[in-house]
Amino acid sequence: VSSRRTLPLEGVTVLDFTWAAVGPYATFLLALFGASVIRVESPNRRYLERTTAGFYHDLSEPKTTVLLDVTDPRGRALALRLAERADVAVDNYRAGVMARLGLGPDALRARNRGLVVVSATAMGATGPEAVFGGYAPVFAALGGLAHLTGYADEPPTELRHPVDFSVGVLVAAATIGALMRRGKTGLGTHVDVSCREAVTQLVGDALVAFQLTGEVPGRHGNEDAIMAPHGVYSCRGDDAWVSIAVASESEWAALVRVIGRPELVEDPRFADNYLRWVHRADLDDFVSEWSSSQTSTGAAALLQDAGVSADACASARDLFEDEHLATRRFATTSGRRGVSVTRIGAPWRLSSARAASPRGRRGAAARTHVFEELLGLVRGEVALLRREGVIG
Amino acid sequence: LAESGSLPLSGCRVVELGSGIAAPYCARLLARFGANVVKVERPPLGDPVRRRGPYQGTPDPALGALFHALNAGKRSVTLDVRSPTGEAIFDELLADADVLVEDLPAAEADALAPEGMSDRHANLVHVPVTVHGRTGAYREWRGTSLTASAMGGVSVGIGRPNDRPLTMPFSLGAYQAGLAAAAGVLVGLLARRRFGAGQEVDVAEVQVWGTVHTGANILTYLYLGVTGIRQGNRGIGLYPNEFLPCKDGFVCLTCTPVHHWIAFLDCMGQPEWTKNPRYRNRRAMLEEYPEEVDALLLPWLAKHTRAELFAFAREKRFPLAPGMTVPDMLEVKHLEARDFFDELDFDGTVVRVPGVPSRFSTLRPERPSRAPALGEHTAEIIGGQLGRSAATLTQLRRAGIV
Repeated sequence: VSSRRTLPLEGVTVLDFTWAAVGPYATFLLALFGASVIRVESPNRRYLERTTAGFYHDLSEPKTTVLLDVTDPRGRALALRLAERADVAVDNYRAGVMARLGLGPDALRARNRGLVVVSATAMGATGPEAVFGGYAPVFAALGGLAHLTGYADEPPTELRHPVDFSVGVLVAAATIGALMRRGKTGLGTHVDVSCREAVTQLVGDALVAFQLTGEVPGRHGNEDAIMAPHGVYSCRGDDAWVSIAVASESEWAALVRVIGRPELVEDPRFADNYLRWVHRADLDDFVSEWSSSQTSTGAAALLQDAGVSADACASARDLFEDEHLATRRFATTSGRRGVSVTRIGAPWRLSSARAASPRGRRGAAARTHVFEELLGLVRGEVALLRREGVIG
Repeated sequence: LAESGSLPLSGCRVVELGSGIAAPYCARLLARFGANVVKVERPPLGDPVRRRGPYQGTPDPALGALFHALNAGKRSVTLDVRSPTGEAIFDELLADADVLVEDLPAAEADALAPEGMSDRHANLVHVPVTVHGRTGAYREWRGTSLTASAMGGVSVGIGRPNDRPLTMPFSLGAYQAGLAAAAGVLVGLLARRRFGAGQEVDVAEVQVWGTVHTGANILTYLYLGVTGIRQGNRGIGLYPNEFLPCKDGFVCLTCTPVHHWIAFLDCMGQPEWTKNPRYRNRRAMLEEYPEEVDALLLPWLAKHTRAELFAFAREKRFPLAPGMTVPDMLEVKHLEARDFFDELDFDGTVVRVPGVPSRFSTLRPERPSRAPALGEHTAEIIGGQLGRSAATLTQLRRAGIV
């Protein structure tokens, strides 16, 4: 059932002071679920994300965007008046930046006790390193993820892992949590999200293992501590690979059948899971020998039919062409003015509602909506502020 | 939801039918947000993670550290939901619940609720957290974090060009899915509060990766037509954006805006080579001859430790970060000052695990120090809450249902 009425954040106004990726992705998710997002950009600042126009466009499209110079006292006053009418304010500047602009959590909440203020900072709002900023690779390195990622016993690899977006999911969750609490108590709050902590949170396994065993976790490529085979195997074609993980005796028996080596079940080197792990290099040779004659998707399908965990390594194009993900509304495609636009959907599939594909206002329409309809300025005032560069 | 209590989810009743990492981690986050979580485990052994370790010394299933980290603050009930009696009790438990988080294989979920869980319990927010999802052509496929990293489009982008793609380390995908699921639970609960009905929020690790991976791969495909690219220790864009060795490990150096690069060169003492035009085109430096530029940086980096370089970076304000090892992270004063870690107590040995990385200024949530023993709360919940007599409980125990 597709019904806009069932979007859970409808009627919620989000004031968006974000830039780069963590914040814009978080407010993008809030917009997908019905929030009305007003994005406040500086007319004087070069936004990093605008250098990658498609990225900026995708995350900004559902938001109403206005240009407002908050370093000018008149601009700051307008931002504070917007905070009075908002339910949520989100920023992801370095700790202290918003406060210096007179728009910190205390200033905003003094205007509106029900306001939920969410700050996502590299290090968190408190602590001795709070003032230090950073981008995703910095969070990944500080959070302990980078050190764990790479080929066995080789230097860390760059993570084309979107640490930013991962933190963005957390920011959106914390925002909704704070709104639920406000629904019960009427009280807003300040939510402090630390990007490096958000990354460390995802490597809890490694922290626990070290404290109990004393062994420092390193880089192990695709190897697992227990499972074997457990790897990424070359297939027929250009840059084609299949990932295979075997956890149980029944999966092992199925694997050797599929790869045409049923006699390996009797091989004493592979008699149980531990021995298979010890002799995993030999196993990898057997699996590779088979996979190199298969297509990656064909190999995955054969293994899955036999009950073995396997997936082809998908490229970005594959994701958009995959029938399974299409059923799950992984991406939305809509036609606008004869141009087909494809955008990423939400990470979940709600049974009651499709995530919306709203379109925010831009330019004059955004100015009219935000400054005249929401704040009650008259057209002449807006024009004057524009001439003086306070409003863009 | 109860109107009392100050945590976002206080009064919210969550039933978890989970094993492994993703679903239990989701429920653990909900517990830290104030939810009352009942973990339903299959008798006689319960969640297999209880027996996965790591252990301190001799393996003892009561002290599996990963289990405690993922399940602290929950209550445990043993119940075999595959038996008709067990299924009926489970149904009663759900009738009283706000949220069900589960990770059953599709066939078992279909057997348990052929018509769909949220149809039977109109108020329930039902959140399956699986590798491929409960909807779609691959709903019956098996998977692990390794294979999800492949299908979600992550692996193809990690590793060296022309070499084998890599998975995300440890079970990172499962944690990522658990986090997304917790966000999905909140969306579902908010929708229920506003519109009066529960629903299914279907979370698939592969889709979480696919959408959360938007940054690098998907948009370069959508806008530039470029598919999977692995770049070794380097990112894309402008030099420097890479991991480099230093005296005692690795540092990540990423200077996109030019003032950051200038600040870094200042730190190096503005070496002579910076005057050469060849080292002024930072796009070419990254795309065409990065090793040549690395060679100019490496001797200087080799003289400094990660801590020294990080101190320079903070002083001069350019983005450089030490590649932190696990023991390093446990020593970080900053994290200590922020009270980041939760502490679990193992018969007097304290193990620190990541806390929740979002702090509400007005809240101090409880921080449970251990997970429940298997079936610790069976009598309390099936006897007390659902009103089964002691005699009935004994019968259920004998039949192996609880």
